[in-house]
Amino acid sequence: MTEFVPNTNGEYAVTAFSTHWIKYVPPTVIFFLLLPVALTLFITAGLNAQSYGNGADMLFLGALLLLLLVHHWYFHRILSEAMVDVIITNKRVIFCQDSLLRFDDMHEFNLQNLIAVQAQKHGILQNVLRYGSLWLDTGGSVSTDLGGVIPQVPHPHYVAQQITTERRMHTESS
Amino acid sequence: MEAFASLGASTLSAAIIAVNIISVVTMAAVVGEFLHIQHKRINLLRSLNSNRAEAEHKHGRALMWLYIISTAVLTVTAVFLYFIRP
Repeated sequence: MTEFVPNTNGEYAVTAFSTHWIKYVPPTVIFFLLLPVALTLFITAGLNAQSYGNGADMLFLGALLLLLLVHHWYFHRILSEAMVDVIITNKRVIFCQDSLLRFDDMHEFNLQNLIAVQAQKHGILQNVLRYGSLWLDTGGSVSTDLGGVIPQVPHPHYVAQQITTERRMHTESS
Repeated sequence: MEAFASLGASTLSAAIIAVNIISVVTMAAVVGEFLHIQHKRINLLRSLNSNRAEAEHKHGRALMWLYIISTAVLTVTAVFLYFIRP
């Protein structure tokens, strides 16, 4: 059994995880579709620049621009997602959403104010790959309200159960 | 005519240098912001005594180095192909 060590406020992390790996799939597919095109243009234009003159130079610049754009966009997306997003403690649920240099959001749901937790897995992909969304109802919100929804949670039913257990323990202790 | 061709070539060289400089600056900005956010996240995890802090650190740093090295390779290749011309 895992032993949790609380900090000075009596709070400890029960679990911390990153959202499901499916988030990497769309940027990786786009990256590997565009990368060969950009690389071929880049190397062909680079090697033929001397023989074909200014036309090849312009093509080289265009290919370089495309290659760098794809490269920076991909790593920006991957690095933005490559951090722990969801932290569940014995007192709150923390959900962090960030896109480097664009936004850095942190949503905190106090277990004391939590009315219900709803786990949702919709569609074949979510059921096969075992991920879904969690709706944390703090009162007055609806499941379509994005502020209370954590998307792409791996094993959402198990996580919902963990949150419910912590909430019950928190209510009993206070 | 030759003057125009020379002007075009020097403009293109300047554009290629500028694109590479912008690329390196972009990489530095993204990496800087990544380190800043990762540092905040690790501190939060450590304050909650989570054992995920170290794993978070290693995984993120590996990706960051991959980004730095691949950007350096692209920059060197671009300069080599355009200015040295094999």
